[in-house]
Amino acid sequence: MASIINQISFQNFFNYFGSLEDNTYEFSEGVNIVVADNGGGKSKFFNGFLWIFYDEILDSDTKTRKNIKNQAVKVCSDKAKNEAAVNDLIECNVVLEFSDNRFRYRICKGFRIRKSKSDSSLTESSDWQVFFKDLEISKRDLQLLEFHEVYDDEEHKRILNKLIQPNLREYSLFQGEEVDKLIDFNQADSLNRAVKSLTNINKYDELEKITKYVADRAEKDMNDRVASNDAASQNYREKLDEKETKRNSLESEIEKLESYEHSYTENKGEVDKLEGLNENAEARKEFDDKIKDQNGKLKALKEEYDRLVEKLNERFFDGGFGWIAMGCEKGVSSFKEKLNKYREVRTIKKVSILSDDSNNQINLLPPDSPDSVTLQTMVEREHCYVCNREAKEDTEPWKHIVSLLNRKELGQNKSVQMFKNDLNDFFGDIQLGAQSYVGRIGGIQQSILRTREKEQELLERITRIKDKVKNLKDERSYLIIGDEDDMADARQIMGQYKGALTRLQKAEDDIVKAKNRIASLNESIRKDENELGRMRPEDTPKEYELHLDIASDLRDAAQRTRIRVFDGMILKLEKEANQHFQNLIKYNELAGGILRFKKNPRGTIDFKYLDEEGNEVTGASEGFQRMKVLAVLMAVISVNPYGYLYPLLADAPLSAFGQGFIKGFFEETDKVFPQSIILIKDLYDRDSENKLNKLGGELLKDASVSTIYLNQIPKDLKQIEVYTEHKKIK
Amino acid sequence: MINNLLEEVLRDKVLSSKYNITEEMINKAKLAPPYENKVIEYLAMIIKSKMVDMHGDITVYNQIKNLIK
Repeated sequence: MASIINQISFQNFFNYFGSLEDNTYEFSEGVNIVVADNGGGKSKFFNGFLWIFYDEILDSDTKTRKNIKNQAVKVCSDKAKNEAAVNDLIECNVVLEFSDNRFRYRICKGFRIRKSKSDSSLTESSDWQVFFKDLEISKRDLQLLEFHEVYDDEEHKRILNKLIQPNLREYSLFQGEEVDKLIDFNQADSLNRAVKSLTNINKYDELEKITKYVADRAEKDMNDRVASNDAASQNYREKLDEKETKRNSLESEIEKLESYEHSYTENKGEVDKLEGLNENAEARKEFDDKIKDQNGKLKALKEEYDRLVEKLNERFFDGGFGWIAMGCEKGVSSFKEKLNKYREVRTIKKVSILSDDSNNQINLLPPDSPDSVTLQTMVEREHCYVCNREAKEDTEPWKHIVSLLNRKELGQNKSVQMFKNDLNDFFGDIQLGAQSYVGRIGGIQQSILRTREKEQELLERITRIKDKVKNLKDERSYLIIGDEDDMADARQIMGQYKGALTRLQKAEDDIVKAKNRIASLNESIRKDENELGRMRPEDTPKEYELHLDIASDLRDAAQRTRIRVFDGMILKLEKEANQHFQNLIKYNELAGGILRFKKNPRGTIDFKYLDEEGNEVTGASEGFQRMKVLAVLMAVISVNPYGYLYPLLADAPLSAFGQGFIKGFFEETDKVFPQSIILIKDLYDRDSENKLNKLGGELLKDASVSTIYLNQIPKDLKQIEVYTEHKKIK
Repeated sequence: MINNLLEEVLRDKVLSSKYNITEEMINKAKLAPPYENKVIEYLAMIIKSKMVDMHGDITVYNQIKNLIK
């Protein structure tokens, strides 16, 4: 029968000021609830259990467990210390009573403190003398009234273990976030450890080992017996040696298998540990790659924009754009007009000068007039190439040609200064220089417009990419854990994960191969055993043969049974866990995933949380994570055919996870634990008449809830006067 | 819990068929005598000696060996 806590009492223990009678809580089988607001004594209550089991209390300042021997002054009620006179002794005790199907046990832990001076500080250890009492345990038969002291230390230990087995205390006694560590799915062996602790599967391992030992010894006895018999043939001895060699190989293979399994466990642990980090690192890298890509585009666009801006000045003077000429249309026509006028005036002046000076008149040769070289040729050849006629020497035509040849010497070709041109080719140069601009003037407005459009387009593209980069960075920021954002670390994590995954795969392959080799060797050894059975001398005692036969068969049966029971348990575990999970979350709006259990090559259990499509779910909310742990814990307990034999003692197991989860938790707890004592604030409502919220009110009427206590601190007390009052409301 | 261990091993098909262990025998099987079958006696002794009496392996074997003599 399960152990049931009947009552717990406190005396001057933290807030629980006063006698044991004043601070007694009575409990029974099923769900027991202590409701208290913050500061109402939940954690102090839980500290009572920690003291009983571990001689520790939780230091609420440092959130660490500390040995009570160094915390006595702190543990003792401030109100009691404050009211104490010098040399007064204050009793501080926790007394727990529990029962099984035959006895009721009482466990008492306590100390006394004495005030050593009138101005003793309430917290200073040196101001108080502390006297710890020995553990006191007494018991009585359930049919009798009187408790009898138990003095034997071993019996003390046994009774404490009866209340909750040491290896099960972590699953029976937890506080707040400790729930998450009960089964750490990131630790390869955490689930398997829970399965081993909470089920009887390890008994099958134990049976397999002892039957193997018995079979080996039976075989040795048989072999010794036969070997000592002269009638044993040489063939028999040789076969025996052969079998022994195979057995040695088998031992060696088993050793190798153990080493592969060790490697598997190690690497599975690393893979599990790094899985989340790797996913995070990969996701960050993916974002980083995208950000890098966008930054590359951004850089190119910015360069293009800068080039555009830089060239704006050039476009004023670049003949291809000629922006400097913008608005010069009138200037050009005015220039042309002035130039024409200038030319006109100039020509008139030129003509006038030539007319005034007849001596300086110039015979301007008509177009195609022969040059001096041609004229010389014409003179020498006595032929006019202009009119293509003969011009014999000393004839008129010949003389005319000679006169043309000599006109320079005769002064007929004398150049004259018509007027001084100080401007040289000034206007021509202007025209030449301005030519390209003048041609562009009409298109400058359009060119500027196009440039502005281009600039605008670049700016918009830059803004778009900047927004994209910002969004990517924002999304990426959700992936950063704490302040850690070192991509070198992330790459290292990815490398480590990949390495561990490769090693895990190799270990898996090695395990499968080693198991095949072991199976083959076992098969071969069995055949040898059968053969040896046939080869034994006829006078071998039959009882030895039967002994060996039964021992070997039990060894094989125990091995097969362990595998069968374990496989069956995994199926049951999965079914139970999903059932508990669905019940735990049924009052929550979101549907949860599927809990999947699978036997791995090592022969232990792997766990996954999947969605309906079979994809692994990551990033589930804390509420779901905690319900997952509780569901698996409850499933492991449920698959045990004998159930759980110890109470559940939990302080704030579901704080801040909402009423839906809490309601589901109370319903499911009752199905799994023979007794649960839950300390909770989430049912408290200071404004309600009975100080319970809606769910608290429902639980008050719920038949599955055995007791409900309400803790309260009287109003308007000074800190040193604070004490907890309690009343049983169910 | 320990009785369950006995039952589960006896339910092994190879073992039960070789030693003619029936469902009725399995249901009746206990760690304490009387035993309906030599194999049941053998297995019950091993389980009791190892897991109830918490004996070491050598003691367990010596007790089993005594069953044969």
